[in-house]
Amino acid sequence: MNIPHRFLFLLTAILAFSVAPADPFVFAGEGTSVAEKVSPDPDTPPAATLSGEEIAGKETAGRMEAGGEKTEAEGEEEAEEEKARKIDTALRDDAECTFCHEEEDSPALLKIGRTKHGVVADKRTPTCTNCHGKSRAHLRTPEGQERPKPDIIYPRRSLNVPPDAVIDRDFGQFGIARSSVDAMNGACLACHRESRLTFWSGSAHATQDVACTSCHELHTDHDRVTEPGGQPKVCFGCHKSQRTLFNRPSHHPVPEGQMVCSDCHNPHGSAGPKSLRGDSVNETCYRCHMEKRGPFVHMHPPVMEDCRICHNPHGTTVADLLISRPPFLCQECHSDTAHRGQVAGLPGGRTTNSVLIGSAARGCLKCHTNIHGSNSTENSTSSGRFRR
Amino acid sequence: MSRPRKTMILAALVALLHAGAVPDPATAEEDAPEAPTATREMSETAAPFVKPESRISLGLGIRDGVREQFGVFDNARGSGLEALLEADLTLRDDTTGRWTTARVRNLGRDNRNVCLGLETQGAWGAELGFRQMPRIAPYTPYSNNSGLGTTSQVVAKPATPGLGGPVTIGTRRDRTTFEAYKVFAKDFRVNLSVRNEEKSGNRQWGRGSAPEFLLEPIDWTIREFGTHVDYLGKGLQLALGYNGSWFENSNALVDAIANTDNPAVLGNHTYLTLPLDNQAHKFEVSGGIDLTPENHGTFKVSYNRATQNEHLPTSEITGLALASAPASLQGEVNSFLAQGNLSSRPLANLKLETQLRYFADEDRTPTWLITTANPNINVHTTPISLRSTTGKLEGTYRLADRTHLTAGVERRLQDREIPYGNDNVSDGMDDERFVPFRSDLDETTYKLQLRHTFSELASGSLTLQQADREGSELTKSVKIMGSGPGKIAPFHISDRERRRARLAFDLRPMDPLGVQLSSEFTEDRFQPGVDPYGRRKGRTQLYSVDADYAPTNHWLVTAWYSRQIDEEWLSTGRFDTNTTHEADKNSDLRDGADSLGLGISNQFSRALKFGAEFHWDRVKSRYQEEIITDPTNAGADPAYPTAAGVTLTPLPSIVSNPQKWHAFAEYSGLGPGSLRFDVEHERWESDDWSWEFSDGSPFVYGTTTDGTVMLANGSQSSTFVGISYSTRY
Repeated sequence: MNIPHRFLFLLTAILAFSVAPADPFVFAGEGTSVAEKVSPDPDTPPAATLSGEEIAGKETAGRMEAGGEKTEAEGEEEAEEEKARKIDTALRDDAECTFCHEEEDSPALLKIGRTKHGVVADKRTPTCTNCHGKSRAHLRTPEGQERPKPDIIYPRRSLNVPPDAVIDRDFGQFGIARSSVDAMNGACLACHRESRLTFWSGSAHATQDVACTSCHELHTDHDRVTEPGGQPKVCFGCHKSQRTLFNRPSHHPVPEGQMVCSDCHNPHGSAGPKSLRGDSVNETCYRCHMEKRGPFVHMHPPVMEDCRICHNPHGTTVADLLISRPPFLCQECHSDTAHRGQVAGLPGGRTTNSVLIGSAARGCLKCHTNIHGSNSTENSTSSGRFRR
Repeated sequence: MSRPRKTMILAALVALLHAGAVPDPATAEEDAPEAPTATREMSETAAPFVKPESRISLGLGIRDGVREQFGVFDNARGSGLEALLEADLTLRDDTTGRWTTARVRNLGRDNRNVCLGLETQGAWGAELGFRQMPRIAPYTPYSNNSGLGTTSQVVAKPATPGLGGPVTIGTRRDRTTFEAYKVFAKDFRVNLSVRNEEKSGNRQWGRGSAPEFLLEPIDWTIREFGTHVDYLGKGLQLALGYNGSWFENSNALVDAIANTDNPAVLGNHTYLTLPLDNQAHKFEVSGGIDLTPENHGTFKVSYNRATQNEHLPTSEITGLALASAPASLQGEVNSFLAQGNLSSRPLANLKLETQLRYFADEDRTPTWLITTANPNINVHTTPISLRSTTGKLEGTYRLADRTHLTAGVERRLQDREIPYGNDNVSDGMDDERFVPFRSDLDETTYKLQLRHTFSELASGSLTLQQADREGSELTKSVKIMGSGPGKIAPFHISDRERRRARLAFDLRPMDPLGVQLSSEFTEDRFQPGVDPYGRRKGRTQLYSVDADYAPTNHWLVTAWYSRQIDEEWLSTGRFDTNTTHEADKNSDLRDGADSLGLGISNQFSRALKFGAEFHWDRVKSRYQEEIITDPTNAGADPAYPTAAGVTLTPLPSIVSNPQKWHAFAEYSGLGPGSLRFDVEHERWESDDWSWEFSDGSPFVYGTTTDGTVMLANGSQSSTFVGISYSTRY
């Protein structure tokens, strides 16, 4: 497609979408607290103290409970507080929460206002209690006791690490969840039903009780798992073997930030193996390596079956992500004659002898150069052996 | 007009029609959502935390040294100045929910990436992206050959090694993407994605008939168009989609010849074919449904038709192909998927996952006779169809408040088509197939997992898996001349017993300190049966420890160490002059990798922050091969043969040791601006012999031809210093 065609297409597509009526997608959960719909696991252990996040000690709360006779000034102050209590700050209808969790108390929490959740014009966006539960008990501190926690409490890495801190490692999977995973994920899934989440139930992450918040950070406009440089670090928090493989000399450019894990995998589950985006390994690989799709006149059978027979997509010590160095790799299937069964070794100098040349440089691939498949119809033994 | 262009223009027309079909702005106004009832009021001190932030960063960096290995994906291979240009621009109109975004990364580098977005949240959105991705080989050939990377390449003969200029081997992808969505009515959403990717450059190739250096010309266009319509109801979600993809190669054939050969002689030419244009069209429907409050089902059905019916270029060359050979392959592979999952909770403490899956690749390419050059081994095309059926049942039972036990079983049956074969001498052996095939495979996997939360500060899991694979008899492939059939069991279809264990433990012994320990062990044992050769065993071990320590909210220290060992034992054979058993070989291959990462960051004051990272790897690859010569073959070659004065020697081990240091300091006491200093040092040490002869001298192609010399730098280091100014608003 030449440039005018591309431009025409893009322009018309943008126009088509931009002139269409704004008809916000209204979720079933609109106007109803998600927490009302989510039933926290009754057998979940009682939530433990979350002192770094809690509101305990909040002076205003203390005044609320002080009771007793009020002076006129105190009455006016209370009226002001009552008024302030109705002003939203970060989310729609968040006044009751942000009255205490304001910029002095919890500045990092307010950053949720920067995110998609903070778009008040979008009627679907939640308020604090949609995710944290109604938490009525949390509003009052019983005398002589610690303030009760919100109904749904999400795990944190460390109390000293602010929610939006960029850290290198994240022990998400076995993080200390304060509420049950069902309760936490239920708060998200009550609204999020996009097609990319269709296969969440039954996915590897769901069956391992991975919480949405194990990977996603909500109170920040830089959710690491959606950013090229950050996503692999989140994934490596659990997938240690992949971390070592991506550090091998031959790898896809994930450490360099040119690719991310979700280019190939859908962490929310898929119909493909290993949560791959395609229905098969090869379909996933062909998205970028379409030239390998063929079909070819001479097809190398492992190529059409599964790219992983010869390649490890995460990384290897051999060029081109080969799982083993030729001739060993080739001899997994081809080992008999003097040529195919040749000993692995380095020649002492220049040679074209076919029993000496299978290890140096590109190994067997120096001659069998169209190893994925050949389109040659030449009536020659070479054409069928991927040398043409 | 080519089919992709037609489709693109069609897509544009559809979009135009859609634009015409929607209500005009006045009507749209009436249908627009009611004005938001809630608005935000916030104090001046709260506003900075709530309003989206934009950032523009400009700077300059200087790099000194050599980094061919680290520069594979950004093409910054040597010394030089670099412009540092990055931006995150975000505008949000709170009254309409309209986002306007621009993301710019590495604008001054070859791996630049730009993304522009426009979205009215909940109504529609569109994103236009451009990404440039270089990939440059970390070594340099010096070649006399000419026309490299074109469709007419000439091998130097006679050749003087090392003459000729350096040649850069590499490719670059220029990827343009456009994605959009539009919400219709209440629960319907239409998604559109378009990708256009131009890949240019070259990659290492060979002449085929001899180990000679050529470069494959890369001038490709990849296009993809996808759309799906989603219904996203509360208890039912459905998606109906189409995806079309097209691969176009500007070249189809390369003609290679030696410079001293007479071009009028057909046999002097080597015609090397290139990947030909191909395309695929996929239709799919998928969805999820709440069957009952305790039962949720998902499904997907898809059909993909991939074809390659371009003109075969070698069919045009007189005297090259058989008269019966096709001018077009008429290649066609149809893939079909049908999958259903059921997630249920029959008991309060029991979750069950059930899956049934059928996936087939049906190769409908005709079987053509291509080659009769070897009288005993006619060569046909090899269409192969594979059909897999998988059933899976997994249950997780909560034994106690904090203990979960998971048990599962999965069975996979695969029907594998054996391609057309020849038994030219009626000895029961397929003279056309070089590798045995199997008509069916049967694999059963069992899984057992225990997860336990010891306390609020400690949890762990242990997972055990066992998988057994077997199948039908291996076919008798082409005989080793005079000595019976090929006796090898390819590892991807041979009988196999796999054991896997994974142990993970999370601990937070005190609040500032988190520790994670994990270990994985996988062992594959391959059953030799009657076939003496093939992979015998494979094993992977992983040990890893991660820690983070945040003594205050100003300090954060992270550290991790991983050790992974991959081993493989392979048994192979060698026969002299294709007739007599000469030796058996037992290979013991091992990759041992140690990786270490350290990081520290400190918010020194409100305005000053600094941090540093260190990353170190050491990978050792070992290639041991035991050669057992056949004592009954008195005339056998020695274990390491000699030809024309050149002797083979055992492969040495390879140790590669990449290291990276990075430190930064950021001063943000300049109003909305901040100043950042970055220092990075990279070091690459490797004794990789891939491009060397056994005496350590550079590898040279050919003997009387070519003479291309390959140079790889095993010791590289590079230092980068950068300063950038960022402003946020």
